[in-house]
Amino acid sequence: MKALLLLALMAALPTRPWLERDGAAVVLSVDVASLFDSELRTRLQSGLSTTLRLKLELREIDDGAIVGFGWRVARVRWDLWDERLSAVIDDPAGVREQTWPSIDAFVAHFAAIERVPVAAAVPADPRVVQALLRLEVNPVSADKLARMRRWLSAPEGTVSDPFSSGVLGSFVRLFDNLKPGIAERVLTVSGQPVRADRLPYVLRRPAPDAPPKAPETPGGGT
Amino acid sequence: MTRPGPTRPRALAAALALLAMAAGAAALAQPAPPAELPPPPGAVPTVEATKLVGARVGRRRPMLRMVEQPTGPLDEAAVEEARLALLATGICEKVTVRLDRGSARGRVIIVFRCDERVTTSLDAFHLGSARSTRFWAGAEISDLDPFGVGVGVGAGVVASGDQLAARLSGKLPAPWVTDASLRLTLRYLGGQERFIGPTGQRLAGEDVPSIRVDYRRAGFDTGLLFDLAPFVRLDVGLAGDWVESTLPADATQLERDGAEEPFDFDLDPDIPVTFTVSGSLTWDNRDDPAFPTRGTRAAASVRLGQYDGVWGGLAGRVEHYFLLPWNSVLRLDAFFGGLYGPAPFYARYFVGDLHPYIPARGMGLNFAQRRGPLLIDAGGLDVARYETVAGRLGFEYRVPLGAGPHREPYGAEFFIATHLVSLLSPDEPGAFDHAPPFDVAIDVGLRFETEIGVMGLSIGNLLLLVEP
Repeated sequence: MKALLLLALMAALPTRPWLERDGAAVVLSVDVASLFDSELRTRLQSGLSTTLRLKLELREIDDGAIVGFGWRVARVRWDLWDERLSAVIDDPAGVREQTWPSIDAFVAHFAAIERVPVAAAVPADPRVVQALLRLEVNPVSADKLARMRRWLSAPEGTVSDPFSSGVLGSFVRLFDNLKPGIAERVLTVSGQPVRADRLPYVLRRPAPDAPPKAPETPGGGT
Repeated sequence: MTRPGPTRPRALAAALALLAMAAGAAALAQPAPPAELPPPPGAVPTVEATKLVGARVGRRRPMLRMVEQPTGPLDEAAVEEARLALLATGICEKVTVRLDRGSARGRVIIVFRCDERVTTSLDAFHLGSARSTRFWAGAEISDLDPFGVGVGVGAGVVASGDQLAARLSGKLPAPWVTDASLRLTLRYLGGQERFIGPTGQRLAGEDVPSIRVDYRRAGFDTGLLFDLAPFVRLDVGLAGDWVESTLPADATQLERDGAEEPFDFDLDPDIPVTFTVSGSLTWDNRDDPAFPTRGTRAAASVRLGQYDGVWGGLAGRVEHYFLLPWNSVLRLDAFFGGLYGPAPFYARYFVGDLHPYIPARGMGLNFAQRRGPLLIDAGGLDVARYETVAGRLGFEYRVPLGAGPHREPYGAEFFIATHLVSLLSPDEPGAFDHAPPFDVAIDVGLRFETEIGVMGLSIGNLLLLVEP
C-alpha cells in the first residue's frame, strides 16, 4: 500500500516548475491547476468563449534573457444546457478539439505540463536560470487597450489649440488609474532559480538532433 | 608567434558545440502562439435579452442602451465590442459578461456586470510664482458622472491676489442626437493684464515697464460633440463673453519703426458682449492617451467671431508617434494657428501657451507676465505676448526606465523634447523688418504612470514654478 502511495506521489506532477535535461533539450514539468482560482473558473463557466494563453519561459537570472520558451493556447466555452466544456487547444503538438464533462476535468488536462521541451540547448555552465509561467486570460490587443483608455483623452483642449489641456497638459493629473494589462488577468508562477550545470539529466525520449553521446552533466535539483 | 598546440582542438570543439546548439535550436524552433483560435464547436445560442448589473440606477438605462444586443443568434464579437464600449466610458473599472439560461433550451440572457470606479480626477494643477504676481495656485477637477445620472461635471478655480478665474462645466448625452454629447461651460475671470508695446510703452508720456488693465470677463461656451467614427470627433460650438474694462486714455506704444502710436489693447470697453462660433475636427488613433507609442493625433479648427468687425481664425495641429528600438518612442509634432481681423486679446495666441518655459494662462488668466529665458534671441520673441500668428515644431524622444509604462501597467520614462516656437502679428508696422521671431526650447525630465495617475518632473516644470 505504501509503495503504491509512493508511486502515485512520484507520478504526480510538481506544483512548481521542474526543469531537467532530456538529451540536448531542457524540459519542464509542472501542474498549474492552482492558477485556476474561483474567479477564473467562474469566467470559464460564463457561457462565452474564453481564451487562455499559457506561456512557458526559461530566463537567465542575471540579465533576464530568454533562453527557452513554450506555449499552450486554448479557447473554451461552457455549454449552459449540456453542462460540458468544449475547447480548441493549440500547442506545438498541434491543434485539437475536445469536450470535458466539467471545468475540473478540463483544468486537469490543460494545466498539466509534462516534460515539455522549452530550450534546445542550454550550456551546462554556472549560469542561473529560472522557469516562469504566465497564464493570460483573454489577452487584450493594443487596439482594445487603447479603446479602454480612450476616456482619458478628455478633457479636450480649446479651439485655439485643440491639445492644450490633454492628459499631460499639467505636470500632474490624478485619477483612479487601475490600468488594464495585456490581458483581463495575468497569473504567474515561477520556479526555483537553478544553475544550468546542475539540472538533473535524464533521457526518456529519443532526441533526433542530439549528438550520439550527450555529455553527462553533474546531478542536482531545482 | 604561434599559439600552443592544445588551443586548436579546443577552438574546434567550441565551434562544433555552437553548431550542435544551432542545430538543436532549429529542431526545437516552435511556431509562435496563434493570435486567435476558432471558437469551440457547439450550437450558437439565441439571445433572448440583455441585462446590466452593478451600475448605479440613474446611469443604468443609458449604459444598457450602449450594450444591448439584438435578439437572435449570439454574436460574441459584438458582445466584446459592447464590453469595450462600456469600459471606454471610464465609469467601469472592470466589465464582465456571462450568459444565463433563457426561457427555453438554447436561449440565453446576456448579463453585463460593471464594477464602478472612482470617476473623479484632478485634471490640472496650477501652481507658480512670478515677480509681478507672486504666487498663484488652483486646480481643476472633473467627474464623469458624480450623481449617477449620466451627466459629467467639472469645476476649477485659480487665484492670485486680486485675480481670480473660476469655471463650471457639464457634459451630457445630447437629447435627440445619437452618438453626440452636449457640453456647457460657464466661466468668470477677474484679471489684471499687463500690456507691453512692440518696443516699449508710455503712460502720460513717461516710459513704464507695462500698462496694467483691470478687466472682468464672464461667459459661456457650449457645443455639441459628435463621435463620427472610432477615431474621429467633431465639435461644433458657440461661445459668448461679457467683458468690462477701463483703459488708460493716455497710453501709447512704441512701434518697431520708432513711431509712437496710441496703445492698441485689442480690447474695447464699448463692445461689452461678443460671440464666437467654432468647429473642430479631431483624429486620434494613438494606442494610449498618456504614454502613446504609435498612432497619430491631429486636429483642425476654425473660429469666427464678431468684435470690432468680423474676425476669423484657423488652427491645425498634428502629432505622430514612432516606436523605435529599445522600446523608445519618438514624437514629431507641429502646430500652426492664424487669426485675421480684430480679435480681442484673449482670443489671440499667447506666448505662454506655446513656449514650454513661460507659464501658460491659468484658465484664461495670465499670472506670470513673464518674458521667457530665450535660448535664441532672434527676432524679438521676448516682446511677443498676444499675437495673431503662431507656429511650433517639435520632437520628443522617450526612453522607458525598466520595462516602461507601455509594457507594464505602470512605470516611468525619461524624455527629452525640443521645440521651435514662433509668434508674431504680421499686421503690426515693421513686423517684417527683421527675421521672424523664434526661440528654441529644450525640456528634459521624467514622467511616471502610477495607480493614482500620471505625473511629470522636468526642467520646464521647474522654470514654470519659479521665475528665473
